[in-house]
Amino acid sequence: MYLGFFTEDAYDRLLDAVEENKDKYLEPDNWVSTYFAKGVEWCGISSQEVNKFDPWLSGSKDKSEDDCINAIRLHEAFKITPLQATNKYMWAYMCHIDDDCRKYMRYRWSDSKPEQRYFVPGEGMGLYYFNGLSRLWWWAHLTYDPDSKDHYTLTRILFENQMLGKDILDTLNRTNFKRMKGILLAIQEFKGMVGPNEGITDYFRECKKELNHYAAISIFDYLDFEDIKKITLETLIKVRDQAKKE
Amino acid sequence: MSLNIDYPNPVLSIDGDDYNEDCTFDVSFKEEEIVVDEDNIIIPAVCDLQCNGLSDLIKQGKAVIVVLISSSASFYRRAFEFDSAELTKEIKVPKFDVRKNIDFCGYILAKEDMKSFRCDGDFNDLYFKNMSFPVRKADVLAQGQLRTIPIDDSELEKPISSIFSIQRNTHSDAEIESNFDVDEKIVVYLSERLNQLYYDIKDFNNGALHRYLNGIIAYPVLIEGIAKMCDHYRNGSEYSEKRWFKTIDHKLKALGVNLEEEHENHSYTELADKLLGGIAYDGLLSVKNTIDEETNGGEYINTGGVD
Repeated sequence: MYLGFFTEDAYDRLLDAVEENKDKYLEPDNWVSTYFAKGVEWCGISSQEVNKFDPWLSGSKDKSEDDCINAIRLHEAFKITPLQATNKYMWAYMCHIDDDCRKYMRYRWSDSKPEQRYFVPGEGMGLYYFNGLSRLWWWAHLTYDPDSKDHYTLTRILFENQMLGKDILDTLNRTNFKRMKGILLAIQEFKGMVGPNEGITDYFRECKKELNHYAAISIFDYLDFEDIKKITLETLIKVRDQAKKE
Repeated sequence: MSLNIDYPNPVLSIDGDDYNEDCTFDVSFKEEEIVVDEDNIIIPAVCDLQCNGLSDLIKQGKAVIVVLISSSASFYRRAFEFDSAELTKEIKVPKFDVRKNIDFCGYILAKEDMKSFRCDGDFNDLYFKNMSFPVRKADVLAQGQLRTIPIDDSELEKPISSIFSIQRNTHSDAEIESNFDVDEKIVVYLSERLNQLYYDIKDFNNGALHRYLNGIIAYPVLIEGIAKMCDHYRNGSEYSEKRWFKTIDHKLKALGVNLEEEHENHSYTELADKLLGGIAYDGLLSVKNTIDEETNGGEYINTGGVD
């Protein structure tokens, strides 16, 4: 299939009318295709061909459990460039119009505000955190390791704890794969050291502050992922040791 | 890439005085030499370093020249390393990995941990006489000027109407108000009733009154926008990076008006009318045509009076 996109005007109009349309987001019908008056140009179809997204809907009470599988499925289906993946009109269109994407959106985000999940609020965070589809794609893309046998090993680590995952992505680490790889491998090793019963989110938040200080006077992007892993792991251990003493 | 950082060791930079006056460092490029091929944006970078101490460290393999390229809109950030013997480098940035702008900044970094970093004769003796500093791998030893390369001007070619975003006003009682700060576009807030009316008229008869609508809504806001641009060129502002600013500027240049140099010479109303393709005339004409059609259809009833 070919990726479609809303016109800028159609996007603005749908966003503006989200309150009056909020019940329609729960319906299976493709209501948007008849929303605009005849003769109004509201969408376009690009020349970018992608495979259909086949979402995994396990029915689990904790719907975030399916996010990792769906991130990988979407990333594998939508072989697009980062430039294309920053297009909010495309993501909003797919959320609203494509049957499989709409089914996924209703399943995953029926209790969230449509303006946050079906659209892309703001740059940056709107893409990697809010929009229901683009967040999956970007989490998979930023952790995709072409050199690893399983290209999504790092993706699985990121999704293990989504609060921690957001903490990692809320920094400049999201912009450089070596940094992501180093930090995620350090977290994996640290979890192995402390065991499954001890939470590490608070340790990472303190660790993040120290890494930020370090990165302020260095160019972290110059380091190899092994350097970053070593720095991160040493900092996590230090933070934990300090916390245990208090 | 913040330039106002207190480093724990001396850093050679344009604005700093950690080094003697005759020491300088920068990595630059000529915009006209940037080439875009099928896959990459190729930037020919040139390093200018006048500092014996740092030059020696580079030759010894203990320091390295690096250019940091970032494009925050697409989450891209990479460090490109110069060969130790070279002062020029072709930086190839994958063009489908970046969006809007590329930030370009040169650095000299420590290539390894050093216990006693010192540049004899180059450090400013007022601050650092006889002092040496421990530095870690990747620590900044010199920083060049930050430059921004705009890379996507396709948005500037869209119709002028694309810089407006019409939204329902949910935060005040104003019938119509504009906001130039909140987004890349100029946001025009319409009251509930005006918003409904706007879209009813917009969709009427396959957009027959579209030009009239632009005359009512976009025209006055565009005049205000041009006024803000002229004020920017007089006094400075944060607006110049906004898409609406760049688009208006770009389109005025295409009409032969360089607002940066001529902001005192033009009527804002006239410029806005030109940008909207003669909206004053077209807007009224579209209404007249619609009235004529209604009249010819025998449906027109004369109910108007003088104000």
